[in-house]
This record gives sequence, structure tokens and C-alpha cells, in this order.
Amino acid sequence: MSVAFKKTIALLEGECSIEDSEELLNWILLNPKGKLNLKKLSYLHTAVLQVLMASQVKISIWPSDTKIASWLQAILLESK
Amino acid sequence: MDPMLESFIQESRDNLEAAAKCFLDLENKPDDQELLNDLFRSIHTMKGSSGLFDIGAFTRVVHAAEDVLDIVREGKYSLTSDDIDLFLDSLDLAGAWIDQLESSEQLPDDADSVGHEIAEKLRGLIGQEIKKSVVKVEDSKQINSHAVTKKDDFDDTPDWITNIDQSQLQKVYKLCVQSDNKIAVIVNYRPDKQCFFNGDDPLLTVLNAVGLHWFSVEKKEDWGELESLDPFQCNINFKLLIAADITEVKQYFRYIIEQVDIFRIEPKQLIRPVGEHSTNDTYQLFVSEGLAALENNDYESLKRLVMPLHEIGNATLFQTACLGWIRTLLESDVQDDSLLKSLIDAVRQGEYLSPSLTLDKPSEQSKTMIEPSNKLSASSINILKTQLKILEMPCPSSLLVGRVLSTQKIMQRLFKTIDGDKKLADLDSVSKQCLATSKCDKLHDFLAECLEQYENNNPSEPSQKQNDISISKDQAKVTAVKAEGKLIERTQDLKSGERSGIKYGRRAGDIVDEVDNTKHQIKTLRVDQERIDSLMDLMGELVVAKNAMPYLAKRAQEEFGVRELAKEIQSQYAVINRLSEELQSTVMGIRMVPVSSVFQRFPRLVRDLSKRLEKNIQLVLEGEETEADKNVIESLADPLIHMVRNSLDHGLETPQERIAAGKNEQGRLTLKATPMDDQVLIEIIDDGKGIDPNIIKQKAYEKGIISEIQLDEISDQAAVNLIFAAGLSSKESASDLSGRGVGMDVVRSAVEDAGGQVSVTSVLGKGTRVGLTLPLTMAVARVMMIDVDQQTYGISMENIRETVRVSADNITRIKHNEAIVLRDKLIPLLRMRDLLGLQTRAKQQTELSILIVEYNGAEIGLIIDNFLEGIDIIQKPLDGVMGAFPIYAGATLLGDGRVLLILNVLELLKCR
Repeated sequence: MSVAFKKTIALLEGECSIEDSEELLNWILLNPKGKLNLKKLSYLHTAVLQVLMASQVKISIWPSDTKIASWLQAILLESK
Repeated sequence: MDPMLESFIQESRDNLEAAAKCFLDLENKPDDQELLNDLFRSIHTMKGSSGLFDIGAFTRVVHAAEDVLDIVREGKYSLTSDDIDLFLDSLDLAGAWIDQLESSEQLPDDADSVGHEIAEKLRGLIGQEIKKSVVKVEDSKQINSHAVTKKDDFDDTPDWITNIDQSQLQKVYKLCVQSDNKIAVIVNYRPDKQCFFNGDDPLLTVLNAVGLHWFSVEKKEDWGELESLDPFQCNINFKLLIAADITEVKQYFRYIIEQVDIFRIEPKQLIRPVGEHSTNDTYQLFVSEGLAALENNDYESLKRLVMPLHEIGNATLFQTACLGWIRTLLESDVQDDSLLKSLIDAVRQGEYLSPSLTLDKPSEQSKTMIEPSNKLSASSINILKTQLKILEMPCPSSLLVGRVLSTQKIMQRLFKTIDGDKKLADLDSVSKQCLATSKCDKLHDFLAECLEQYENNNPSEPSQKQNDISISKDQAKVTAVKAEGKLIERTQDLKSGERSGIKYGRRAGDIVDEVDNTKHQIKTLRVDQERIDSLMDLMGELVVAKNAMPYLAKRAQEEFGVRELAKEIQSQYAVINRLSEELQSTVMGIRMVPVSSVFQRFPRLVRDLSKRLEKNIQLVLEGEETEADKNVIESLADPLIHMVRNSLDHGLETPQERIAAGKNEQGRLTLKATPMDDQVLIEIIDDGKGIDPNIIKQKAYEKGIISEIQLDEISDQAAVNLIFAAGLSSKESASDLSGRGVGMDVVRSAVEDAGGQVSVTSVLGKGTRVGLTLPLTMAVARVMMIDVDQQTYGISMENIRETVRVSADNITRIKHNEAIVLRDKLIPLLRMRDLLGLQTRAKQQTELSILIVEYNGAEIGLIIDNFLEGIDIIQKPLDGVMGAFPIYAGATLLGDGRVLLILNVLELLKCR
């Protein structure tokens, strides 16, 4: 499991697989004001990316991996 | 061999067969949609799975076939008989390649050229159709074709290129210009909605793409309510900019080739400076100095002029972008003065016109382009929409002037292409008002009004999504017609490009099909024949082991005197016997295949041959569902082909001859299979001219097959049977189909090898009927055991007519030969001891055991010592030293461990 859910923050760590997408979506639905901490994210599946795009959930911390951070920021900021 | 390849070969054979059958049926029912769909599915499946292997030629051919069929399916083209010939040839070619793949795991060396040729021919069928539809599209647009081409040139590089960071574009440009094998490639990747279920991860695919420099993501459809979002449906598309070898790119996307469009673009098309235009005088100074330097080919000083300006310039300015490009051009090895000049001009004008438009093309052409047409292209409308959105955004007063001016500029340029000066004046006054009031709402309203107007002018293009698709469609067509288009290459050919718009519809259908297929697949298993064979062998062992039990019971009773135990063993034996019989029939059932597997090749054969022989022949297949053992069916294939050819060539007449003989013009050839207990009867019946016994007699006499006496005495039926004799051909000249006199005797020996028999009856002028009787299975044989000189032999039940015991007194002697009269029929007798060459004489018996067997249609009695019981055996062929004796058909193990030799009675009688 690479997603840990806290009260207002979900931690996405390592590689987020397709299975995480549904759980993440449910969490976002329950916590519409929740934020995501992607600090230790190394990769996410397309399905998870979709959830981020569709929900426009706020990102509290971008990935420390600059490569991912750059394209993820480009995608998510643009989709807003 | 790779198991994937193995199953591909298997499947492709099935698919090829199915496709061939569909084509033949289509000839009679050209509009049968069901057939067309089946056909399309077979071909489509082959195309899909062939992509997994390195067999491009194969894929190309089936792909071409698929494309043509798609057009046919849509009702835009109907297949003629000649087209079907071409398709059948292609299938043959594919079949031959599959054989080659199986033997050497690669296609023949000439596959590429041959495949290309066939694919071209196939596409040639629809070539005209496509051209027609292109003309139609152009007509409907009511613009002359010249203008269409020009507009497409202009739009070739997709507009989203301007979204890409200038420095990335410049990097790609440098890479492509400097390296021979790298070119700029843009990829539109539209993952299938269900792709996650195939294990695809499109994002990963994109990130791992070779030479990826930039990518963007956009949603396919609106996300809708978050509650109803299905995260397992892929709803995003990707756009990629790649600098790499195009074959590498294609190779990379080969598994999802139907989901991507790959465009190759020229590096100079990447030059798309964007930004805000500044009116700073420094730039004007640069322009005059730069142009002067360029004229003198003084690149060094041009570089010196550019560097500081570029570095200090605001990155959002249009001029900075242009300078960046000039710098990139100067830093690459190859200098293109026209490009440099356009860029320097751009710095001055605030607008970049690619040299292909400004320099290469005569001005007259660019005039046609800006001729007012009162219509805006879909992409132009999109640009205007974006501007509208920008104007809607809150705007700090510091940015207002820039925003109004930039929007005005963009609108000016677009309006120039459509309305001429009419709108431009309005635009001018509106933007002036905006600047005066420091509010941009007036401009916004004006733009909205214009947009509404233009969109109404283009009713055929209601939404942006469809626009994109229709553009790509038109582009594909126009690019093909006018090769000068800047899109140099598309991975998918013209036709699939045309289809891309409707692809989703088809995919959805395919998914439903695939679901159905999986249901089917669960029911049927594909098993290697070897496994069934080994199951069969094991079952044979079991039968032998089982047969040992009665002996054991006998010994228990006789040697050890335990009657109780003997009884127990007997009852256990009965249970095991029942189970093993059930097992046996089940395993036999597995090996059973319908005769249709042999019959189905005949429609094609008959069609081709009757065309060649100019005969009109109807083939009727009956009892195709009759089943027999796979080996039996396989052994049937060659004899049947021989006989069908014979019927076509010798039996059935040409239409003229038939009309002259008062028959129906169309000849009729019937292939019929009938199950008969443990045998199957296959009949080949034609209503041709029949066999003339007199001609056969004469021929046989000439060839020395029969003597002069026989010539007079032989009955008509016996004469007809002579066609099975070696070296007899009745047709005057041997054709390349049949008639070299090797046909029928080969047929007979093949059928006899399979344990069957052949018979022929013919009525002159009415037709011929050849009947083959074959055992249902060759695996388990029922034999009768006989005793000759205290040695046990087996004789196949199929040869035995009856068994009789007669008193020795009933034997009549005719010269040296013995005979008996049984039911008023004289039957010649032979002694088995003599046939086997045994020296010992049998002791005088009052009652003789006689086995009556059939030999060449006549009955012969064999005198043996005693009859023993009949048993089921799995017959094993003899090899080694014993293999050289044809009088033994094989051997088997008996329950008590003895070897039972099975006699081949027919061979035995030949030796007499």
C-alpha cells in the first residue's frame, strides 16, 4: 500500500498503483478539502493521475523528485 | 518454438481457413453482412496478433485486406469475383508464410517485396473509392482544392506546439538538425478507454518513450461529477514531442499502434516563436544590423548581436523567442539563410511567417489563401475561443494594455484570412475604446459576437472534439492526394487515417466480441495432439493390463485353488473393464473430428478448377458433421483430392457437352459422409459422363493389365474396377490436373493403409459414384484370435466375412485347388499353414475351421486350426527386422504378456 490516509492529508509514497486510484478517489470524496503530500512519490499510475486531474485536489507538497514534480505540476496546473 | 508463436500459427491457420470459406460464400451472397463481419473478424484477429511478432510483411498484407474489407463492410465497395480471386491468393500467400514460420520461425527472404506487392494490389481495389470520397469532401467544403491544400500546409504543425517551452523546441531542433537518424516526431496517443484492463499504463508508456522531450495530457471527455468518476476507465489522451529515429518510435508503439498517430515533422516546422510583441527600439536597431550581417554571411557578428539581446530579454517577449531561435539556428551546423531572415523579420513585425510561405511560394498562391471565404478553420475558432477565455479572466490594470493589444493582433491576423477589411475597422475602433476606458469587456463582447457568427457558418463542426478528428481525416486524404504536404509520413496509411475518426465505434464493437469470444474459449481447449496420443498410449497400456486380470483369476483358481478369490478378481475385472471401456470411448471422442475439416477445402478447389476447366460445377457437401478419428480423416484428405480432381477432369462435362447430352448445364458433384456403425462411408458422386467399361477394357488390355481372354470374359463392373489398377489412364491426353494413371491406385492403397476399402460404380452417361469405407478409428482395433500350429495370430475383424465349421467331407477338389460350396456359392479354400509357409501338416480333423475373408470383392476361405476369442487391441506397427514383413500388420501385447502378431490378410493373399 503506497497511500496512507490521515485526517486531512493523504500521503502518496513510492509507486502508486492502479488499485490505489479507487481508494484515493473515495478518500477525496469523503474529505473534499483534503490535501495530498506527494513528497516521496516516485511514480503514479495513469488511473491515479486521472483522479488527481478530475478532483483538482490540492497538493500540499510536490514530489521531491524534480523530474516527476516538473511534469506533474505542468499537467495538474494546466488542467486547472 | 515460442509458445506464443505456436499458438499464433495455429490460430492463424484456423482464421485463414475461416476467411477462405467466407470469401467463397460471399461470392454467392455478396451482401451478407453477417458473413462480412465474420470475415472481417478473422482478418482483424490475424492482423492484431501478428503485430506481436517480427513479421511485418504478414501484418502488411492482412492489414491491407482488413482495410479493403472495412470499406466493403460499410457498403462503399462490393467485391467482384476477380477481387475474391485476389483475396484468396493473398490468403494462400499468408498460409504459405505461416507454414514457413512453423518450420523456420521466420518469413521467406522475399516476403517483404511479395507482401508489399500484394498489399498494394489489395489497396488498389479501394484506391479509386478513396479518391472519389476526397473529391466529395472538397466539394462539400465548396472551396477550390487549391485553397484546401494551402490551408492544410499552414496547419500542418499542430497548434499545440506553441504550448511547448521554446527552449525544449530549440533543443529538439538542434538534435534533429545535427543528427542524421534523429527526427522530430509528434505523437497523438489516445489510449483505449478499457486499456487499464489489458494491463496498459499509458503514462508509463509515455514516460518511457524513446527520445521523449515533452508531453501533455488532456481529458478525452469532461470529468463530470466526481462521485460518478470511474478511475478504471482511461479518460486522458497524450501528446508527445519526440526526437528519435522514426522506426524506433514505431517499434516502441507497435503494440498500441492503433491508438497512436505518429507524425514526422521537419525541424523548421518547430520554429514557432510566441510571446508578447515589444515595441522597444533596441530590437529595430538589431533588425537592421542583423540583416546587414546576414547579407554578408557574417554569422559570427550576427551571433554577437543576438547573444546579449537574447540573454537580457524578457523571456515572455516574442522578440526573445525569435532571438532564441536565431541563436539555435546559428549554433547548429547547417545555416539556413531564409529561416534566419524570416526570424529577423519576425523580430521587426512581431509575426513569424515560415519561409515556405513567404519565400518559396509565389505570391499569387498566398493570395488564394487569404481570399475571403467567410469561414474559419476549426483551429482558428479554437484560438479565438482561447482569447475569449483570456479576456474573461480578471486583469490587473498593468497588464490590460498588453492583453488588449495581443488579442487585437491575433484577431487581426485571423480576420485578414476571411472577411478582408470589413471587420478590421470595427476591431480597431473597439480596441481603441477598450484602451481608453481601461476595460476589456467591449473587446470581449465583440469577439464573442464574431465567434458566434463564425460558428454558425460552420454548422458541420459543432464541437471541438469532432473538429480535431475531422481535421485529421481531411489532412490524411489531402496529404495523400497532394504529396507536397508537409506531413512527410504517417505511420498508418491513408486508409486507416481516414478511419481514425470512426475507430472508437469499431473498438467498442470489438470489445463486445472479445467478451463473447472468451466465453467460447473457456469451453474449448486447444491441446497438442501429442498429449492426446500419449493419453491414448496410456489407455492402450491400461487395456493390456486389464486383460491380464482374467488370466490371474484363472491361475488363482487352477494353480492355487482359491475359488473365492478368483471370483472376486473376476468381479473386480468387470468393474475395471467397464471403466476402461468408458475411458476408451471418451479418449476416442476427443480424437474425433468432423469430416468437414477435410471437406472444407473442396469448395475452393472445385471453384478454382472449374474456372480453369471452363466447366460449370456445383459442389454439394452432405453429412459434414459426421465424425471420425483425426488420423483417419487426415488419411482421407489426399485420396479425396485425387478423386475430386478426377471427377472434375474426366467425369463432368463442359456446359456445351452437357446441353448436347440433354442434361442440366450445371454439373453436380456431391461429397457425402454417412456414419455406419463403427465405420464411415464417404461417397464422391458426380452426374458426369460415367466410366465406359469398354474403353477401360481396351486400355487395360493395351497396357497388358488384362489378358485377351479376360478382355472377352470380364464383366462391366469388374472392368470399371480396373481403374484402380496401376498405370491406367483413360483420358487421351494427360492434363496437369489428373490423368497420368497414378490417381486411382494411389487412392486405393492410401485407403487400404487406413484400414478402409474403395468401391466404384458407374452408369455410362449418368455418372459415377466412388465409395470409401473407413474405420471410425485406427487406434483400437477389434481382432479375432486364431490358432495355427499352436501359434496364436490375430486377424482384423474388418476383413472377416464369417466363420464356419464344415465337415472335411464337404470339401470339393477342383484340379489342385480346394473349395467348398456355401449357400450355393463356390468359395475357394486356402490353407493358412501353406500361406505362412509352415512345414508341419495339420492332423486330420473331421471338422475344419474356415475363416471367410473378402479379397478384392471376392470371398476366400482360409482353413485354420481353431478359432479363439475376439479382443480389442491397440495395434502397434512393427519396426526393425519384423518391419520388413508386410504380411504382419502389427503386433500387440496380450494380457498374459505374450505378443500377438496381427496378420494382414490382404498382403497374405497377394503372396499366394
